[in-house]
Amino acid sequence: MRATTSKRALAWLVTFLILLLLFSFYCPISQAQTATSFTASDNFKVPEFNGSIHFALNGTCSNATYTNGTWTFRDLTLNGSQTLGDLQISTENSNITIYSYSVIDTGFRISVAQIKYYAEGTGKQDINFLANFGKTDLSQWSVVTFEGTKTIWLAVGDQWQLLSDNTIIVKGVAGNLSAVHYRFDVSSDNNLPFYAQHSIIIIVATILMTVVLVGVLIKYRAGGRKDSDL
Amino acid sequence: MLSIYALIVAVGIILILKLSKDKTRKISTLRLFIQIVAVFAIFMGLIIGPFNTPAFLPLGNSPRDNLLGANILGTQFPDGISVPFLACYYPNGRTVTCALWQLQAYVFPFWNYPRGYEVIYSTSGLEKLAIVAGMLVVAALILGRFFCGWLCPIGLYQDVLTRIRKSTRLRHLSFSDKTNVKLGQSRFIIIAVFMILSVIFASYAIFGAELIPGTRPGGPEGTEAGIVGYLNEPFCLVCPARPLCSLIECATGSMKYSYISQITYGPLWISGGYISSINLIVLAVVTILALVYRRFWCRICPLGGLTALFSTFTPFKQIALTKLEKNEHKCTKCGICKRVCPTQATAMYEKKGGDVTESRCMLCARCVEICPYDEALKITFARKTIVKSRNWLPENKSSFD
Repeated sequence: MRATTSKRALAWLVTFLILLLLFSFYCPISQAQTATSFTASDNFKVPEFNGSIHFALNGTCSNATYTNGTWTFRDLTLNGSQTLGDLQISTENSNITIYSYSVIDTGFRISVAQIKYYAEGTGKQDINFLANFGKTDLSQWSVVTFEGTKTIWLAVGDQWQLLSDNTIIVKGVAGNLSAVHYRFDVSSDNNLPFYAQHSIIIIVATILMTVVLVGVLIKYRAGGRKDSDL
Repeated sequence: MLSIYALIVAVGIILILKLSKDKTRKISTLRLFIQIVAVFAIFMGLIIGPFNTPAFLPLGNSPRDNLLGANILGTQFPDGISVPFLACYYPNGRTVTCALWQLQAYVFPFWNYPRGYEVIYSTSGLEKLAIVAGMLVVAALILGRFFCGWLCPIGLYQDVLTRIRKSTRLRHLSFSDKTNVKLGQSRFIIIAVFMILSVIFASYAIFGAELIPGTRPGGPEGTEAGIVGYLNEPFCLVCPARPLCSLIECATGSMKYSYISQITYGPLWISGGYISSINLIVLAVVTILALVYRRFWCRICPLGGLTALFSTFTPFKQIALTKLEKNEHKCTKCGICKRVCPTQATAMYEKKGGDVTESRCMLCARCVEICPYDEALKITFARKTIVKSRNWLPENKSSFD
């Protein structure tokens, strides 16, 4: 009877632990409860520059601040998405509607960011993804507009420019626009010293030799003891 | 998160050891728990995600992304740490990676410095092969086929199937000794065949010959030409671990089935990144056979064969650290060890004494926990006893069923 009871208790305990593991992976934390919601009809005005920003979708952000004609959104989500990133944006003499936004930055060699919006009026937009891209160059950015099914690449230096803090400035273009950053670093380790280039095989070989040595020592210390004497 | 996970695991182990009164089931219960937490670690939490999901943003990047992007003492090792169990490369990320995949991927052209995920390797295929082989030998020498018995996800899958069969009170079937020996030998034939195929198919991908009509190497994803992309690792196209892990991840929401089916190509789904008709059929066959024959896949698993090669065959056998040992003076030849062994290993019964680890033994310790004679069987690590058989017979019973 006692064996059955402890067995049952054990089964419940194991079940509880497994559920706890599952729960810990899938339970959302309360962070989202402090988010600020906005809807597609909300307008983020830029009165100094005669512009406005709004999103085509409902969404949330943890923080939306307006400073010197620029809106900064932190932890942006759109339409129930995962957190997409932060966005700093300003617009002058145009009203823009943001359709799509995402930032992917693994912190290691790959970073991708894109924003798609519609600009009403040939004004100017300043966009910064507020991500840790480090130093980027023009080849990693592109700004395009769309005419029907045609994609038109805007001229850098004329219709858009890149600032040193990775702010993209688009000017004089109305309609559907998309600004994209894409970096895929392919690096070679050839500049590293020999031991660094081959560090993994050196470590593996060292561990292997150590294990073999330990095994030989143990075998040697067992010495003349016959296995059947165990 | 890691510390919480480790704490849960430690508490679970302690509680099982303390609370479990049935001496004939204690180790089996512990093993089941270890298998479950290992599968969680490999597939669910610590490797793929839930990193970068909203609930767990403070955790930052996953260990896989850190390993992929960071330098380990200067050199990147983005294909992950080689492990001697079926932690499938594709569905489970690349913190730990099935050594069999790596061997197939690197063997040809081994002189090349191929480009990998995000990097250009400075190490040649030969060096990467050496790293994988080295890690495999280290793992085998240290723990032998413990990985098969306690950590492998396919092993857990089969053990769950065994428990399902037991719940129906159906008895398992057993192979004859001769058949079982032949199955064990087939592991080495399987590995040799697939390594040769890997070289042949990789040659095809490089030299552009059309072995399969209508296909060509380097074609875009989603087309017939995409078939060739996965032929370099031919065993992975038949391994049951890949579809099993992929389908489980689809079921848990970690992966979208639409993504999997998008990269499955060719007539009758001949090839694919995750599932193919062949590996689905193999999974089905393994499932049915594992319901009937305990740990069926483990009898023919080539990775288990490789691990056994480096732990139970001379000269590795002499220096392997984890062994199953027998005291012949305490053994009464009752035969219960042989009967309970999931892979029908026989050395612990047939050999006189000493090191009775054999290539079919998964070190699951089932024989140790069921043996009713004190210290007749034990598992040792570096000659230190880890677990030993205990007399579990009630005092008034002189025999057992």
